[in-house]
Parts: sequence; C-alpha cells; structure tokens
Amino acid sequence: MSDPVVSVRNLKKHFPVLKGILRRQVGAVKAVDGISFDIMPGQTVAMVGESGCGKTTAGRAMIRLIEPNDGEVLFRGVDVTKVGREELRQLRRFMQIIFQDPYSSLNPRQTIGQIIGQPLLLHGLVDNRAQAEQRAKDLLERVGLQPSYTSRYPHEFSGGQRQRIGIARAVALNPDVIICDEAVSALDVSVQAQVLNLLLDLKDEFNLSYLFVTHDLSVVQHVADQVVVMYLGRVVERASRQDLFDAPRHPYTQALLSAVPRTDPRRRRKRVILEGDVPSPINPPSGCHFHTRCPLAHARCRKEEPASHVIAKDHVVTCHLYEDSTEPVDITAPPPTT
Amino acid sequence: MTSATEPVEVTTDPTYGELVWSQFRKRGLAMASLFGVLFLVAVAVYAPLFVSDKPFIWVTAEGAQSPWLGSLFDRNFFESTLDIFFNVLMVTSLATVPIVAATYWMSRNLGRHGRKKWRSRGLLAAIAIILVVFSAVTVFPTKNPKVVYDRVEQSLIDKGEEVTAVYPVLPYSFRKVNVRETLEPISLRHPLGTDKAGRDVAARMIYGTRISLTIGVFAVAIYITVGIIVGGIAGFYGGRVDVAIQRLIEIVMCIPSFFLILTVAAFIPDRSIFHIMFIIAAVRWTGPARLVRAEFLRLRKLDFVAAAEAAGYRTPWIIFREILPNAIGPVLVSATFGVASAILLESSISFLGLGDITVPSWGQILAAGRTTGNWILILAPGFAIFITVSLLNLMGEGFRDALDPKMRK
Amino acid sequence: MPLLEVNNLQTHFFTDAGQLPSVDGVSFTIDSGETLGVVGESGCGKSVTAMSILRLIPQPPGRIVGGEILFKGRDLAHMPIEDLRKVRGNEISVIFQEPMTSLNPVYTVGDQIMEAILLHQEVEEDEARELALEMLKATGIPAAETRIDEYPHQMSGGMKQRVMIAMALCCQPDLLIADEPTTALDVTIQAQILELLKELQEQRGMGILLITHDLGVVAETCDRVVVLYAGRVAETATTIDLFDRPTHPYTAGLLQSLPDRATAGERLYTIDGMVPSPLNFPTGCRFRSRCPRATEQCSEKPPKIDLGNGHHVWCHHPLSAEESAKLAEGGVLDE
Repeated sequence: MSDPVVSVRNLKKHFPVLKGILRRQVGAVKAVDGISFDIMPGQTVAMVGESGCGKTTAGRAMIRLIEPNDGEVLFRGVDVTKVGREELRQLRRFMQIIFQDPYSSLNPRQTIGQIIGQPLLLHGLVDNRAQAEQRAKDLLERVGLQPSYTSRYPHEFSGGQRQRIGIARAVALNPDVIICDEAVSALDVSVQAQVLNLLLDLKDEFNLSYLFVTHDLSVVQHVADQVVVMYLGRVVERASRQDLFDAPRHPYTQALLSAVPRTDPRRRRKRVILEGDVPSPINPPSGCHFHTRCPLAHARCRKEEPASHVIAKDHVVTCHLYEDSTEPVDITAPPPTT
Repeated sequence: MTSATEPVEVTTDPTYGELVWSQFRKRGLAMASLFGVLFLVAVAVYAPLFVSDKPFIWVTAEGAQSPWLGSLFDRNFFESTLDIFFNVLMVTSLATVPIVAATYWMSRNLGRHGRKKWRSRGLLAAIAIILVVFSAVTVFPTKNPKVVYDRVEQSLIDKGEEVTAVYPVLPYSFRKVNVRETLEPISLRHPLGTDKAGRDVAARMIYGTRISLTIGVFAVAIYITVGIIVGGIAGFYGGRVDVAIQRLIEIVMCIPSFFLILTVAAFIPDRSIFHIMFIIAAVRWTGPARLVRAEFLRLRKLDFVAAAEAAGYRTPWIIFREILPNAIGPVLVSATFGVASAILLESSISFLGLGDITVPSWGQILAAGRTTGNWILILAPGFAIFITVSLLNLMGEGFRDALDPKMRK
Repeated sequence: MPLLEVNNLQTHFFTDAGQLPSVDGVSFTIDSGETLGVVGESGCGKSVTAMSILRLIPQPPGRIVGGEILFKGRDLAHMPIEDLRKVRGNEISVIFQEPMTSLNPVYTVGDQIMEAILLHQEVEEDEARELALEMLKATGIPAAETRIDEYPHQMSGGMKQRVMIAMALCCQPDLLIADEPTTALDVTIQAQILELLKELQEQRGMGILLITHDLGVVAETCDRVVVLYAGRVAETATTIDLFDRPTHPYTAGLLQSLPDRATAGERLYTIDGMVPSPLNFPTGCRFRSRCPRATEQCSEKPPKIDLGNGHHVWCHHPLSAEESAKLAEGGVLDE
C-alpha cells in the first residue's frame, strides 16, 4: 500500500465571534473541530454532512483558503499548514479546487482563455501566452467544449458548461488532488451525469485523487471509495463506501441514509425522521454533539464526548454505543433505559 | 456518445465595453448629454482657433508668418502649463484623432480579441504622441517677444504700409488688460461685453472651459485613485484594517468639507488651480473609498477570488487583476457625477475669492460680476456652470443605468 | 369533476429576442386528496406552469395566451383579477422554494400568518392569533407559543419552511401548489417536511401540486406524475406506472442519469447536450435534438399514445415494453 497523498490530522478551524466596536472575541464557532482522514493516491474520498456541519470549511482549510487554527495537513509529507507564503504558492498547484457555484467561480471580466491559461503562465508550465492559449484550447476540448470558446466570457455559458470550464481550470495545473466542493450540486440531473462522467474520466487520465465535499448521498455512493461523515464539525463515521452504505454504524449515518428519497415508489419505506434541526455550532450540545437528535441517546451521551472505535479496517465510528460491540445498532428500536 | 459539445446561442460576441455602450446608446437624453460634453471638450481643446489676439496669417512687406502658430507653445503668451497642454492636444489631434478613428474602423470586423487589441493599440499610440509632444514643448519652451499685433497693424497702416492679417473670430487675449474698453455692453465687437479690466468676457468664458474641465477631471482622478487604493485595502483585508480605515473615513466625513476647503485655501499663498484640485481631492476621496470597500467586501467572498488564491496568485494580482475590474463600474459612474460636483465646488471657491486669481475660471468671472454688478458677468458663467453640471449628471445617470443589468433594454 | 383541470395551457414570454413559448400546451388534472408531481429539469417550464395557475407570472413580459385552468369548474385563466384574488391564498395556496426570501423580514411570523387569515376570513384579531398558533403547532414547530413572536431571521431554513406551510394552509385551501418546497433544505429536514405535507394532506384532504426536479421525491410522495420537457408534457402516468414502465425516451434518460442507477465508479448514462432555450425549441418533438432515438419523423408533432390507466406518452419512438421493464429493474438501455 502506498503512502497517502494527503493526510489530515486533527484539523481545526474556529471562527471567532466578535462583538462591540473593539471587536472583542466573545466566543467561537467551532466549524471544524479536530478531523482526521487520509486520501490515498487515485482514491476518491467523500465528505458528507448537512449544511453547517463544517464540510466546506474543512475542504477550504485543507488548502488554506481559510487559515486553519490547528492540526496538520500533510501533502506528500509536507505540512501545508506550516509552510511560508511563497512555498504555499508553489504547493497550490498540486491541490486544486472546483467550486459549487458555477456563476461566481469564474471571473466575469476575464475570457475563458485567460481563466484557464493565466495560472499556467504563473507557474511556468508554459513559456508564453500563445502556448497558454493553446493549452487552454486543448483543455476545453478535453472537457467537451469547443476550443474556440477561449475568447468568450463566462456569462455566455450555461451552468453545466461553466462547471466544465472550472474543471478545465483545475486540471490545467496538473494537480495531484482536486477538492470538489459540491461541484455537481447546482446542476440538473442530466447535466450532473455528464459532469460526473467527466470527473471520473479525468481521474484516470490525470491520475487524480478527489475529495468530494457534498451533501448528496447518491453522488457519494457513485463516486466515493472512502466516506467521511461529518456532524457539527466532527467526524462521526469514516468507512469505505461499501461498509458505509451496507452497514452504517453511527445513528446519524443511519438516519441520513434513511432520509434520502429512493426512486422506487413500490418500496416507500418507513423512514427514520430525525427531530429538529442541526444545532448552532456556536454553542454545540455537550458530550456527543448528536445527542439532541439521536433516538438512541442516553445520559452518558450528554456528558461525555464519545471516543472513536474501530469497527474494521478503515471503518471508524465515534459513538458510545460501539464501545463493546461492533454490531450495527437499530435506530428504529426504542431507546435504552439508562 | 457523450460528445457533449453544447451549442451556445450567441451570434456576436461583444466585449463588456461594447455591451455597456450599446445600452448607453439606447438612452436618448444620456446620448445627447454625451455629445454636449464632447462639445465642451472640443471648445476647451480648440479655444485658440476661436479666441486669440495673434493673427493666423500676418503678411507685411517683410514677408508672411503665422504668429498664431508660434504663440501656441509660447511661454510668454500662454503662461500656464495647462493652456500649453490643451494646445498640445489641439495640435496633435491632427494625428491622434485619425489614428484612433482608423484603428476603430479597421478593427470593426475582427473578433472580440482583435478589436480589443487594435483599439487599445490605437489609443496607446495617440497617448504616446501627446506625451512626446508635450514633453518636447516643456523641455524646450519657446519664448517669443511680446508683440501687440493689432496696434502694430494700426501703426503700419498709419505709416501707409500694406498689411494683411487674418484674426480668429474673437481677436482678444483672455488676459490682456484694455483700460480703454472697460465694462463695455454687449456688442458685435464684444458678444458678451467686457469686464472692468476691459477683457472680453466671451474670450474668458471659452478659456474658462479649459480650467473648469481640468479641475473637474484631475481632482476626480486624484481622489478616485486614492479611494480605490484605500477602499480596496479595507475591503480586501477586512478585520482590523477595515475597522481602522472605516473610522478614518468617518472622521474625514464628519468635517464640514466646504469650510475645511475655505480654511485651507485661505492659508495657501499664491493658490494655483493645482492647489484647488488637491484640496478638493482631500475631502472627496471618502466617497469612492466607501464604494470600493463595499464592492470589494462583496466580491471578496465570491469563489473566483478563492479560485485565484488556490491557483497561487499573489495578493496584488488578486486585488488589481481579479477584483478591481469587477468593482470599477460603479466607481466610474460616481466619477462622472464627481466631475460635475468638483466643477461646482471650484466655482464656489473662486466665487468666494479663494481660488486661483490668475486664471479665467468661471467662478472667477462670476466673482467679478458680483463685485461690479454687471449682470452679464453673472449670467454667462452661471449658465455655463449650470449647463456643464447638468450635462455631466445626465451622462452619469445614463452611464449608471447602462451598467445596471436590471435596466437592460 | 377533478379539483383542478388544466387544459392546453400556453404561457409565453414576450421579449426583445422574440416570443418564448415557455409553457406550450400543458394539460393535467388533480383530484382532491391527490398529489401530482410535475418533474423536469430547469428550463422545462415547470415553475411557469405552477405560477400560471394563479396568474402569478410577471406580466409583461409573460402572458397566458391559450388554454383554460378550471378550478372547481371556474376558469382561473379568464376570471376577473378581483375574483382571482379571493381564490389566491384562500382556496389555492402556494409555497416557494426559498423560505429565506418568501417571508417578510420586518414582521414576526405570527403577524404574517395572522395577516393571511384576516385577509380571507372574517375573524377578530385574537381569534386569528389563535388560528395562527394552531397552524404553527400543526406544522410541528416546537414551542410554537414563543416562536410565533419571532422574526424570520431567528429561524432555521426548515422552521421557515414550516412557517410557510402554516401560512399557506391557514385558510384551509383545497389545493396547495408546492414549488420545489424542499430543494433548499438538507435531506433530514427534507424528510421532515415531506412527511409533514403528507400528514397534513391526509388530515385535510387537499390536492397538492408538487413541482420538483428530484425523481426520488416524486417516487416517495406523489400519486401521479407529469414529466415536462421544453414546455410540453412528455409523459404522464401514476407514479407506480411511470417507474414500472417508463416509456418516453426523456423519462428513460432522466432515470438512467441518476447516480444510484449505475454501478459505483462506472460511467453514468447521460442525455447529450442541455435543455434548449425557448428561443430555439426544435419543431415537432422538442426532445429530438437530444434524443438518441430521433429520426426524420420526429420533426412532426409526436402522437399521443395511450397505455391505459391514464398513462400517456407523446412520442414517435417510445420504448418497447421489454425496454421499459429492463429500465424499471434498474438496468440501462443499450445504445
């Protein structure tokens, strides 16, 4: 087994809550609160969770678009969080990102040729403008657009086409890892399928690893090798796709999977409906963050933070219920009396 | 099967500027104002063609010459650098206007890329010509002996010599005092009469266009630049930097600017119009700074900025190449209004007697009208100021609407 | 008589670029107590259809140029606007996709619900407040007594959508139009809201017109489905029939594009290209520019095929029974 291309260790991002004209810090939003996982070469890791769980912050903190407060992000053995500005600029080439919103992620005043070609010049991957333009044309063709589009502006394209341009920009620098931040969430089903196919093709062609940050479990099920489930800034379960979808352990993972509507009207299941909303990350619940919504919560969950328990190789769940047993719990069963 | 080349329903590909222009063109009043402003600019540039006491052609027994041409870069005649600069604009327009027009015309059928390239080249060439000529006449100033041609002409005729002289329509200097013709009423000789020093009011009004436009444009250019830099820094970095800059802006805005201007102006001996420009800029930069800050705060959060950061660009690139082009539209609109407001401000300062008394600005003429009670000296510059400010404001409004995607026609 | 009968609805937009036939001959019915799903990609005209029913289309540029909208036998399309106002919010209510922007930020949620009640019902203010509170409780908002005096910004997205539902249902409408009511919400919250709608429908027996792009939501909540493409109906059937026997190539394409249909990591089936702009909809069958089965014949208007049990398909080359069956089992068609 080769070494991971990216190792995230205990990554933290706390946003200060400031008040008053002196901007004193009165609290912190623990958006990402100590998460760890690895991305192997050629692997796709999916980070799933609902809005407010910190998955987007985690993805951006990994490449220091947001400065993390603590933890390590090892890229090929180099800790990205510790390097200086200049070294970081060099490293960025290798860790690219594709954004959710195809409308705001392309500069409206630049041509497609500039958007894709300029970074190549910046990193010295091409010698002159003509080469950058040519490379941009090649890449446009590769992502299924006409090469002549290099002289056009982003507003002339549809959402799906813009997302292809965003992909071309990301792969242009020949990176090792691409973070796909909800990259297909804003697209229609048929366009989403086209873009997902493109991402899968490029992965083999350019030998990429992906971190898919998404809330869409059907996308996760299709693309992911490894899945990281987040809830309120923490990882609650980490497993291979197969393990996670076949036998989810954490009550939250189970509820999340159960909430996804299936396209089978004959088997309308009795779903596990979670009560209430995701609590505010400013004052997250004590103990296990999920206890306010967990059907199986007991007294201990309110007080003690659960430890991570290894269920199998690469399958880790952070829940008190797996202290002694590795058998999946049944969240539809009545809660145990404590 | 997933060839997935998707057709785009775009037949032409206008540049952003062309899009805005096509919107602007649909607004009649704004277009009319634009032509009005262009007319004012033309009056300012070509003023010596209409007003000069130097004859175009001067033929005596000694031979033919053109004193008018010789006077254009003459430091003894046009004492102010400003006038020399406008004269350079006038002379070089023989080359610059055809160059710009030709590049525009010839590139009209090229693709967007080609159009942009050729048009910016044409503009650059024109600017280069202007700068070269201007530097040349600045470095090698010409000083001709002062000759009062109409008196010489009279004396030569008295002597019985033959003189042929062709003068501009208004054969006066805007500066030369003529004690024999003070406070003349409106006549064919003096379309707007003369002031108490006997200077032709129409001539002063026409040269005043140069002063007013320059003060407007330069003052605004100075404070817009300051505003963009300060506002950009505040909006881009946010946090404490932003808080500090915002407090500074608020403090500056709290000071009643007109009184500050009057106070400062009163302390400067020998005020020139350049002092006035800087004083105006010093109190007005807060407007664009706030505008740019707000735009930067908004744009900063958009993903294309994050994308640029992720691509490894340095901060100055991100500020000036990624964000600024997106923030500049509203600033340019406010600049148009700013020019109008600066002209008005300069007039007020001059009217109160704190301006540059050596130049024929409209405010100075107005002030002269107040002291002499000559109504034409009040009406003429008042009307000119009113028209100019209105034209600029109407143009700014059209410009603003043209930039607003919600107002697209 | 069905609760709502839409016949050959045509809503066009008149712009500088030309006349856009965004909705061009759409027909369907809804009975009381029934949920009809209208499904399609963005640009297919599903929202315009929904908004046309209460004539909430911005006018100009939009206009209903043809067809009738019979609600309890009355034609909403040609009714005087004063009469229509009595129907809006009273007999037919709408909930929108964006709960964040659909509520007025300067009034408390209680005030907004009371306002809706006072507009349509002759009750005192105290009584209206009671009704509003009752509605909030019915939509499962915890601590409704205190939340009734909160402002929208104090609530989460899910809570706001519950408030929107409370507001929509406070006048006991017979028909609820829900335009992508859960698209902006997380899956666990989406499950809550869909469950809530189902419960309320059972209690009140109202008809629901559910606009969505999510076939999963359709499968889980709708009784019947209308598949729209480029302003026209491609296929309509009961939900069971549609998923058992998808017959229009577009329906087939949508189903096959779903990521959960394909083997993980394999390429997904895709429909080529994208929904055309209403400016250049193809003649004849509008799907032909993207349809793998298209032939010359498709430039003519597609025939309506009746498969029984209200299952209709508009297509020259529908899927055969075997192909449909293969799809229904989760397979993918051969090219």
